[in-house]
Amino acid sequence: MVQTLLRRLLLLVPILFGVTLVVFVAVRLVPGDPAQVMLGERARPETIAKLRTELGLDRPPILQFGAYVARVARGDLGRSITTGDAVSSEIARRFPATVELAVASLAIALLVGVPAGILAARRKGSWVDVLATSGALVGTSMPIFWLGLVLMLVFSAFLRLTPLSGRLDLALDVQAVTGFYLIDSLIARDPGAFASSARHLVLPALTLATVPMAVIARMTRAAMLEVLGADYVRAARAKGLAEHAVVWRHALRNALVPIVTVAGLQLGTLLSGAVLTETIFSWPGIGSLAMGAVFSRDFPLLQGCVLVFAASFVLVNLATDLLYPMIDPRLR
Amino acid sequence: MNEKVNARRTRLVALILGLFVALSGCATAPRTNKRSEEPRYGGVLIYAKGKDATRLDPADINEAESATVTENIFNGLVRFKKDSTAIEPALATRWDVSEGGKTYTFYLREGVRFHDGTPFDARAVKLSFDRQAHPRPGQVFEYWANFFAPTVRDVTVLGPLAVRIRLKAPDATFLSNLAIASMAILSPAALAKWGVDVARHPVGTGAFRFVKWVPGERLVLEANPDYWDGRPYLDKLIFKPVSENAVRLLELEVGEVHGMDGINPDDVERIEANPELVFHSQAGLNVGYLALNNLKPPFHDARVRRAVAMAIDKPSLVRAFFANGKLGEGAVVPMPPTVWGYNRRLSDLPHDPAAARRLLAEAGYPHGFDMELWSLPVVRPYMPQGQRTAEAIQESLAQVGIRARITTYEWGTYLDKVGKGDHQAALIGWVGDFADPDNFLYTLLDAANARPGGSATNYSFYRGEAVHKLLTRARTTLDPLARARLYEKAQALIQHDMPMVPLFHAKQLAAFRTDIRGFSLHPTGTKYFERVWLAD
Repeated sequence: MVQTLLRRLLLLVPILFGVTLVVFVAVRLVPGDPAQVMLGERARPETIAKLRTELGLDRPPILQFGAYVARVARGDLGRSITTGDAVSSEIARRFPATVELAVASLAIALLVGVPAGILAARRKGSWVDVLATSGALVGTSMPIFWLGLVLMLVFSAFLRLTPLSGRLDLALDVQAVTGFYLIDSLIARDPGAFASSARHLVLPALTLATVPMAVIARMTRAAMLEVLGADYVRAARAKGLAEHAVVWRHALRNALVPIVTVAGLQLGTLLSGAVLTETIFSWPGIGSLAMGAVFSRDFPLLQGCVLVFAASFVLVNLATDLLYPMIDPRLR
Repeated sequence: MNEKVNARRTRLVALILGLFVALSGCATAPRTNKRSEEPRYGGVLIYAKGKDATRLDPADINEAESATVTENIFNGLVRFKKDSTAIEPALATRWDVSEGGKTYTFYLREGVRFHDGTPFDARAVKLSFDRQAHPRPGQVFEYWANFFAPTVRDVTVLGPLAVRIRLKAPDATFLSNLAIASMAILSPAALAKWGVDVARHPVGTGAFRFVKWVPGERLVLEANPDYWDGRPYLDKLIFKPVSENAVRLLELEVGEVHGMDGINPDDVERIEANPELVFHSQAGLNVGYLALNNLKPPFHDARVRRAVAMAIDKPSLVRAFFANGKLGEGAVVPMPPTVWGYNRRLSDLPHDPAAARRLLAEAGYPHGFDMELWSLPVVRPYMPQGQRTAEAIQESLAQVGIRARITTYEWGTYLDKVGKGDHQAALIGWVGDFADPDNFLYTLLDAANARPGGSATNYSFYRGEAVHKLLTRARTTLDPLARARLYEKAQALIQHDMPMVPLFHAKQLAAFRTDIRGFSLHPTGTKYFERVWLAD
């Protein structure tokens, strides 16, 4: 067990190295001298030269990469060009918001996706099945950007049920402890702030949840169909067990491994896929941070964000794999 | 009978509809003028911006998103007047200029305290400036490096409330420079306490005190009750970054925020039609122009340049690319009319293809000529649609027989090549650093900035002797009125020589809800909130 964990953690190193290399190259394939672009038409040549030196752009790319990897290995992600702050602290400030959004989205996706999948499997071929299956198809193919704006127009602008953007009503304030506003407002015993942050969370979480919700529903349906046809389920039914006990206790338990796998994969995707959703809803997480870094050509910040995305993706998958033995004793 | 009833009914419906229209007409009348109320204290104003601030160290800022915030926290020795780019006292109440204009002695305002309680004095001024003059390794104070390093010799404390700044040479733009955001005075105690991190802990003497900054979410300021220029009306001022233009406007419409900038051109009509909103616009500190390379034939001939200017149909360009003048206006000279010293007697050359053809014939090109026209590869404030602007100009030029071929390069390369003078004619522009004619006319048209092969800012490579004399004299003349006269003369000469074709001044835009009073745009683009108040 410990050995597996260590081996998987070691595997992180080549994966992150690969990601670093790809991002480093990709960022530099964007045409134009970043120093010149950043300073614009008012720049004097001396200023540009100074900035180039400061950014290390005057050195050969291979040396730049070597220096970057060496610093990253020491845990130093460099300094943001725009804010001058350490990339690691920029990311640390924004990461809780992304995690809160991703976890809320995964919760929605599971709470809707799993029951929908089970229901569709139990009534295979019925209108419920058709509805769930076609809903899942629409969910996976819906452009996030468009969906976010439509939800916003309907629920915020028209029905005025939810706020348009942000994490908390600006008239309110919570002391950051964990960085998760839902938890922080509970710690502060501030029901108003809790309600406000929940209301702010609903639309972005729903938007971000559509794809995983659909994927999980489809996966659940397929896994349940397979299990429901198995001998032990027939046996359970034959001995007169109530149908809900058959489905929820016997069948679902065995269908859970593939569902957990998919959910784990989806959480990784959620963490890294929050870029569009966060941008539309001005959600102050690393998704919108990365988007801003793209527009301002803040290379160190962008590289740092992508590294964090990659690392969280790999780590979540690792955690999922570690969960299997707990669900399925055969895998111990 | 039936017909009669129907007719009567129709008339009734028409009457009701008419009344409805009339009533809604009343509703759309500007509400701001309806009541002449006294400003009231209190309230929280939320202002939505497209981008968050990046850092709040005023000396280390080179973009407007941060300056908008720091300008409400800090003061400099002098400032721009509320409605113009003229200079007025701020933390300095008056100043003496020595004979020859090389020594300025500033007398400081008494009894001012920084937000952290530190008394404001001459030492604070010296510390704020010296910090910029002697940056630590890796630190670049861009504005100081560009505008003060070449001219300022030293800063000396003469007494608790007197500071002397010596210049290497007389510089008439010095006071204008001193009014820009980066010359703000910081609390020495805060500088000592925070060091480089002062960029996240700004402490000034301004109308608002810094409270809290949650990046990407909110930046909170509160009223400074002891502000030397009178407590601001608002209790709190919150800046909220909302990156999507459409979402930002929705927030303004439903009232989640009170004001915004970064308005989509397509949304202007929607804002103007909404009785709950007030739309603000004003010429920005910028100019978009067509740089004609005066060193290359046929543009070495002023007649050809004038012909090009008259061939271009500027009014229709403004109509097409600046929403019929709502987003920008035609430029007469390469300096916006909001900058002092603008020559209001000049009117633009008419769009006159026939006259242009005559001029071309006179210059020896009766059948026109072939040329290369460089179009902007990026969106810039002064030219939102570079490629299409180039195409429209190409069409205009074709009318007088000039055959232009459109070329472009990647932006970094473009700037580099234009700076070296590789172009024949290139679309380009300038966003002013500070509101002084020098920053436009000297930067864009003085011979000193026209070194081909190096890096020029005079992209037309114009070296008019008379203009050069006027511009350099204006730089060292200290009397503002005399300077203004020199600049007015220079503008007339420039228009006659037409080294470049001034095209547009893009407007700065903002929208507020009607219950926000007392806001006006400033020519420099800075948003000041100290006199803004919330009506019920």
